Amino acid sequence: MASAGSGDEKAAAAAMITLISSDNEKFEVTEATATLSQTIRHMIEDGCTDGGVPLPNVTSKILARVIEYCKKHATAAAGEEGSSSSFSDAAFLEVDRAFLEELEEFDDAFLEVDRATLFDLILAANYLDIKGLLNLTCQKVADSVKGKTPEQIREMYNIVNDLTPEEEAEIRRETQWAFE
Amino acid sequence: MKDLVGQKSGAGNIAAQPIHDTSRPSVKFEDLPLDVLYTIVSKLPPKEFARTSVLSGKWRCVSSVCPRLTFDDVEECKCSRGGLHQHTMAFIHETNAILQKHRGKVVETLEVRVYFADSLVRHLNNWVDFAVASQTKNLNLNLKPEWLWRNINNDRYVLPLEQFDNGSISRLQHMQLCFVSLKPPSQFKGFPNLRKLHISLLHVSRKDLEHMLSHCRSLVWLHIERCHLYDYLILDSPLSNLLYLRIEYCILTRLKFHAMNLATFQYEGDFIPIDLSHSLKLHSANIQFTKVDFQHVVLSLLSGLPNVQNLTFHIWWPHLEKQWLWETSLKLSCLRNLQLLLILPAHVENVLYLVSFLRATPFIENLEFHFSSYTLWLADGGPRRQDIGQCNKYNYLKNICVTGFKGARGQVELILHVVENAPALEAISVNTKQLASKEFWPYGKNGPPFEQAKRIATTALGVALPKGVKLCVI
Repeated sequence: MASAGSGDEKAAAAAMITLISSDNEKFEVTEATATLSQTIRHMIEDGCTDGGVPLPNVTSKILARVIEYCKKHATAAAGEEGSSSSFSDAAFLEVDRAFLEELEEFDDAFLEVDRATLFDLILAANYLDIKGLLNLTCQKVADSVKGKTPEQIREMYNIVNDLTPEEEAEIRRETQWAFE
Repeated sequence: MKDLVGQKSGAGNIAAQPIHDTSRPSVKFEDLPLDVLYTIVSKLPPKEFARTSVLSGKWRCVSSVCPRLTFDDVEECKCSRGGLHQHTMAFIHETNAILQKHRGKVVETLEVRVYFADSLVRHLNNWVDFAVASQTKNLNLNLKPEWLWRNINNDRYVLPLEQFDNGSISRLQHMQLCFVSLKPPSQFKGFPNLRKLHISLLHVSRKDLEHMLSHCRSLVWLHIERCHLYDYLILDSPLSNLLYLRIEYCILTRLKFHAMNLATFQYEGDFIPIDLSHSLKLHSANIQFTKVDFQHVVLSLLSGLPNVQNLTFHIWWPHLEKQWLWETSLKLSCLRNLQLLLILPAHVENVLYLVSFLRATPFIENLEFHFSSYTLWLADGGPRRQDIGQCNKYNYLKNICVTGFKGARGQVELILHVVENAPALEAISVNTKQLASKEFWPYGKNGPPFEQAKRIATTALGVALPKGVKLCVI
């Protein structure tokens, strides 16, 4: 059972977890930070985190960024989905407007990355099952395609159009309303 | 566990893909798993969402398998209030046109977010009709009051429950209703398969709400926000699936739920008696009360949440009585972790009286005090811990954490009282920074006397702490 999730400032009693990236770099984080990832949370609950948690799909560069995100958000994580909520110092900080604004600023700055990094972050968030990070990064991608023509989107993201001209014409007919 | 690497080849099998090197020369959408693509496109407005289907075979697949329509006028409409009417008209026109294209298809999720105006009623009724016909499982009517302070008592959109037949009622799994009025007919049998319900600014009578909720037997997640009943809310019929309950800024006089499997409870607002005594597995509760009489509130918690394991208790402006020996045999005997957050503009000399609460927590393992108030800085006065007399020990207490330590005598006495009665203590940390709210210091540039407070903590604890207990003063 997880102990009371303390923030980093109050590390007196916090349990530490070691995460190991694909290039074998080790990262030590508090349990409160690590359990923002449902994947890691389940591993902790199953008691298989001794000797570190290997993350063969995440490079050290990306893992460092993911941890940065989790540290910042660990304090704001309480009670999104009820059963999964943990006892953390988040709840009271939630009411602190200044903190929420700071969090938003952090998120904006956090997303200032090139597309390759953004995609890697999405893949890592998906693999580690970090809902907030997945939402944030997917929103960034969605915003980037808003108002663009299909041709522009294909170019932006190297999408190979594998539809035959007939197929494409058919889809365009079906969704003509969307192009009006 | 999801397979991340495997997605590269596995997920793109709808159409033949060009072969590329193992190194990643460029970013490819095709590298993302289908469910992630789904998450991305579901954040697009309906037209743009539909347009993505011509991008490629994989995209066509994504947009045909995720029947979801989101109409968000609040997000789109960043214009001035003056342009709102025109904007709403355009929104209605577009929404109708798009729904027309989806007639006869299954639409799993229908979301509408729009500033409410009377002219919308007819259309909202049609959209609800559409949801019924399209076998919608997730319905989100998020109406925004145009002028919150003026409209708040005005008529709202009345959800046309009569339009739902039995089939569509039992199909609903998630529902969010904001600024809607609910007048269920007397024979209404609730939403039998509704799992998640979020209601805010809902206009409903106490009786109708109780009636409806008591018939939503599948509810797992319930959030009630700013629904003023001016009355009690008592659900005596069991909601055995309910795991999460959050009540926020509702004007109520009493609250009772019979939710035996409830795991998480959150409450914010004025103090009211809360009865969750049936919730034997209450894992965590987070309660925020404003302006309360501390003793009264604690006694109410002891009887209302007797089984809570983790409690975060946030009190603004409590009145701390000069009294600690109330006669009560009530104990929070499941409580292991306690966080007390106190905003104390007055009564700072009475901090030690918090002991009266601790007396009811004999099995506590982790204890946190988070203080906020500039009046605590080096405040003198108040009773000494010796005045309490004999006390039961906190035999299981391992960790103590204090933030917002400001060298007040009351704080020192409280900490020493706990330390001296905690034979199993392993570590204590005292932080002079205030973490529960922003620091406020009205006395000039030099700022609060952090160093002096640190010295007070170090000196007092240096004497009191037995060997082997870890001390950290920040």
